[in-house]
Amino acid sequence: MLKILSAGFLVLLLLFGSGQAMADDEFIIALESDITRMDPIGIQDATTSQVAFQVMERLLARDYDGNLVPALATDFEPNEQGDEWTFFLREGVTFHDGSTFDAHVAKWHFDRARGEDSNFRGQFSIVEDVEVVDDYKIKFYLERPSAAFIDNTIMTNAGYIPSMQAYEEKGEDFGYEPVGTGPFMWYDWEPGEEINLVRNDNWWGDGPLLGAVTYRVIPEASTQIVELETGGVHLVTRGLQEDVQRIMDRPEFEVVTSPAYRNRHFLLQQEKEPFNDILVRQAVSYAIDMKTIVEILAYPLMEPAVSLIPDASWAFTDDLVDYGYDPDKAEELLLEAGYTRASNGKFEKDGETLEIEILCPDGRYFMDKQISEAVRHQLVELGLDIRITIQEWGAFLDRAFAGDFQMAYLGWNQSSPEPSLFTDALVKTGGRANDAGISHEELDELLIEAMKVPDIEERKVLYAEAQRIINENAWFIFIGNESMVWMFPANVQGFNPSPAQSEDLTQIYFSN
Amino acid sequence: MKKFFKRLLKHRSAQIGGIVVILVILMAIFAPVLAPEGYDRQNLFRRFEPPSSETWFGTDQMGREITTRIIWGARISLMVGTLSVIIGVVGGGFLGLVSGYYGGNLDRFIMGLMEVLLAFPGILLALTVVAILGPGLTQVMVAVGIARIPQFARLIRGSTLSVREKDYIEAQRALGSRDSRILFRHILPNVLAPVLVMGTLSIGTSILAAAGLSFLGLGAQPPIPDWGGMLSEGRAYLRTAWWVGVFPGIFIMFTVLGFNLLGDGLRDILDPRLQRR
Repeated sequence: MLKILSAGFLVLLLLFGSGQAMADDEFIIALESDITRMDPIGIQDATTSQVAFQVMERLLARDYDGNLVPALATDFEPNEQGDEWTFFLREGVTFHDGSTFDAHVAKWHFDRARGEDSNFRGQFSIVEDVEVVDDYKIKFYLERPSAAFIDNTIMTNAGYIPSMQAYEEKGEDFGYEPVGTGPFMWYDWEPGEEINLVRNDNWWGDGPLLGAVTYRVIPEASTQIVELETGGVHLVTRGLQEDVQRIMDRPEFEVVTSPAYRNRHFLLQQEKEPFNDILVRQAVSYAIDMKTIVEILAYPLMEPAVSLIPDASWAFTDDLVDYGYDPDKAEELLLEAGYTRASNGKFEKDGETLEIEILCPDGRYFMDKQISEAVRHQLVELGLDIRITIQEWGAFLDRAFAGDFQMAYLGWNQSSPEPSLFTDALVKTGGRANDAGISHEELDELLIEAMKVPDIEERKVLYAEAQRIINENAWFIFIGNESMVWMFPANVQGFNPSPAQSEDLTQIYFSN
Repeated sequence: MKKFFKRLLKHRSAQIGGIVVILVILMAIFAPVLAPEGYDRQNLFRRFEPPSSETWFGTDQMGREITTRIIWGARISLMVGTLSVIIGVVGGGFLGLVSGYYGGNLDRFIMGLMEVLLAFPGILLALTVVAILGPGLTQVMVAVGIARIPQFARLIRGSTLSVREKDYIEAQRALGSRDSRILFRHILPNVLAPVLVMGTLSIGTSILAAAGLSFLGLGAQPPIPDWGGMLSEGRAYLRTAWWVGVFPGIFIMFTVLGFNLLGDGLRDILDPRLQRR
């Protein structure tokens, strides 16, 4: 009897045990927030986009260095004026539901992307028409020549092409059961917990080597690290400086960091007191030793920045006004702006102390709160009255979008080195993230011109001039460029992430 | 009154609680003497120094002395604790007196409202208030205070109900005293004993509730050294620099414990049923 019992117990243990252990070809990735709807024309957030990348594909992809490489299109060519773009589609590709990928599906998709329901219709508005030339050839007719056409349309989230058959069968539900052509297929999703993908054996490319990919939702950065150390996840892409340092020191883990297209800055509200005066903007810029602050508090996950366009972009120049740390100069500028030092050491004008509120989100950006505190400390030492208001992300965004701030800690992420993604959104008149109402005629002209010129060297010159204007006006105090970091066990092979291409999991396998 | 203090001094838990509370109060009063350099002196080159004879509790992520921040933080905690209880006592006291004295539909209405509020956990109520008012120290005090109102209202209504039937109230009425005079001159002093007990006990839990709100990032804005906020910041470094979070946590614990012990002692002494002859 005892034997039977213990044998039964053993069987139970085996069953239970095997259920708990990870399959040895399953790769588990930590996500900081859950995904939303997977309909490409509605995807607005980075986590959903990251999962969509495995299930669906774009016409083109990027390699390690950010160069465009074939994906669902094998090649493309613009006409001479640059207002007609032809894509040659890959033959023999099937969606996970067995339907065929061809020019008709592509046209159907891009018509949706241009349509009413699309969050990307603004970017796609440059497209006048999409034409099916033959079964494997599709042509985009543009309103006007555009140098950034591919970056602004094909390479956005709306560039992921889903199955038309799945859309017709499932209707709006297909956003929750996405069907694409990607290396991994949708399996299931426990909201708030995990997303499971399995290998697509019929993928047209080389691989994937893994049997399954699982995304686990773990909001806390420190919990993600604990999970990495205890084997609960294989890939973590964020962490506190101290934790990252600790993981770096351990030989059983690999840590890759890379500068990314992620600018962090204080935006000064130039429409309101006191930052409507350029002298005050410049004074505050000189009063902050941002380089030291960033190096101490955030390096290596953030590196000091001097321009709105990230260092990693081809358009970056460092031939700009240098707002290095110079408190004397800051004082001089404030005096010039009409402020005087009161008996208590504070600066005042017409009997009123110079007060500034720093608006800061609560941990949305790496070390945002600590950096704001350090900045506050230096400005207080200069003799300003500084108050920090930390607000939860939703409330913070409401105020930021409404321009209701004096000095706000903001960031802008892109996955491409294209400079217009930064300049046109943030400083062009009416730009979609131009929250301080910046409007500068000469700058606008430069930015419009830079979108018309196809030659990269000519564009470089124009963007260098644009960056000079931006810095001379001191609308921003640049904090840094946030790096990307990938932490994974050393036995993970075939993973070679870069800011341009961080999501390719097809060559990953585990060595022992 | 003398007898009361004598008994209080003899009571074991009141002794311990009282000493802790007095120490915290002294710390708060003498903060400028004990830590003259203030709570916001940063030195980014001295981050995460472990506790030593030089810096008792170490330094935090901004290179600030945790010792000085805890000393100044005592002011914040005591202020939040007492002011929110005062809001609760004043608001709840008024509603309870009126409700208990007049009775009838007014009583049913006020108490019905209080029942509804009591159905929510206090912290949830406070969270709602902060969500409406926005983050900040004042808002947290108001929020925690409002969340206390129903408890005090119910307590005072109960006492008022029994006191209003007493002969001396009847006599006042017969003499033609105004309601307000009866309420505040004759009823109020006689219902204060339980309020004193619950008020003391509530200071502890209010400090805890406020620390909780700060922990969630809704309380004091930096660089104000709020213990709950310090604990929250320290949490991220628990594995690399434990002292950043542990010391504020210990101080929250002892302060709350102190007020609770003192409150327990007061209850034992003031409750006639528990009195030994």
